[in-house]
Amino acid sequence: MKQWMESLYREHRQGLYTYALSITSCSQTAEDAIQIAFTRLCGDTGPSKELKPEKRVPYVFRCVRNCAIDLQRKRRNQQRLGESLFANLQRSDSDASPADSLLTRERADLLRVAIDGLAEPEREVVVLKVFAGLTFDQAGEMTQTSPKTIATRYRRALLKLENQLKGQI
Amino acid sequence: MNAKEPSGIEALLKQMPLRCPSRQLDSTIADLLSANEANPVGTSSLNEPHCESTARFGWNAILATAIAALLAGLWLGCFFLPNWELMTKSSFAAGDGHSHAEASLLPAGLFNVSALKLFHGHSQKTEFENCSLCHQQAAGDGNVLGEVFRGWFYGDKHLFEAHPFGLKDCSECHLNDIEEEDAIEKDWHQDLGKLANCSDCHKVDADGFQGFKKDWHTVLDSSEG
Repeated sequence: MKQWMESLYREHRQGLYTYALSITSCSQTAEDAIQIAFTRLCGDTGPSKELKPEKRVPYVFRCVRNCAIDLQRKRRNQQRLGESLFANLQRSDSDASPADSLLTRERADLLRVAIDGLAEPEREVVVLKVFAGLTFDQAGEMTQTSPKTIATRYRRALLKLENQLKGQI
Repeated sequence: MNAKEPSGIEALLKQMPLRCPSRQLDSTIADLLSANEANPVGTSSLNEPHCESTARFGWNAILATAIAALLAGLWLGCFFLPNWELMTKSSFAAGDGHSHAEASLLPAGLFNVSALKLFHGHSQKTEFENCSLCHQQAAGDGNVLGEVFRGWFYGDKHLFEAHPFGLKDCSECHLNDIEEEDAIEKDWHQDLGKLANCSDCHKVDADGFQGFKKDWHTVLDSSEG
């Protein structure tokens, strides 16, 4: 079991961290959530029987999610740090050619604000799909929602982002 | 044109630089997973991925993807028609009411070669029994096959609307490479089989989903009535 967990962690470490960070808005708490989740997975509270391979990714993401929510509740009274999911982009509009990259610092800032402005379920599905690389099926399994609903939320989120950034990007 | 291509906003999102977990977390998880293991996994394996750059994938992943793409290309290549080869009668399957004498004059390169490869090569079908399913009738001058693909790529019709087989079982012709999103879309549209014209509901739909023109429920009610 630990073998697949290791490879799953290696493959999804960035996605797990981004997802946990999107819930906790605190990098340290996000890392704590991942650590607690894996401790539980390896311990007695882990999956009672061998999981099917296709269920593993949603299962681990769900564990991390639960731990992140638990920690978030416990630390509710503490000041929220409001840390962003995104690192700083150094490139500005003036020093990036169009062929070089679509994304400049100015655009990244606009996108960051727009993503923060999405409703929680839509933001969650964008994080899971785009940044964590989950499929709609996996995201649906993880959130215990129909994949169709997840797909609809995702499209709606993209449309909202497009509309919000129309003319600015 | 390709419905699988990410939209502009999606492409931008994928370029957003993400914050990375610390290496301390990696080593903690590695310790955790290697503890009590009969065949312990070294902690260094989890410490390998570095996050100093904003790239999502390491060189190993890029190399593996490139090799996989190369192998896939070689495999698909055996189905492809060679570029610029004169299209002969044998290039067309028998049984179509099409003028083969005209077709024999046609260099394949005059077509959109990519599209030619895509539809004649990237398919489980080795023979097409009825060219006119996709192709318009030949033009009078005999040099061109008229408009190909019935306005599929060159027109403004939606994929499902223009597809000769409609919403039947895609796997009859296509390899099992339909991605999840397409499968879901197909599923949705199968439920709406009564709708004759995609543009009744969709806005500009040649590039994929661009939003709805009408309220879904109105359209559904009227089609059911």
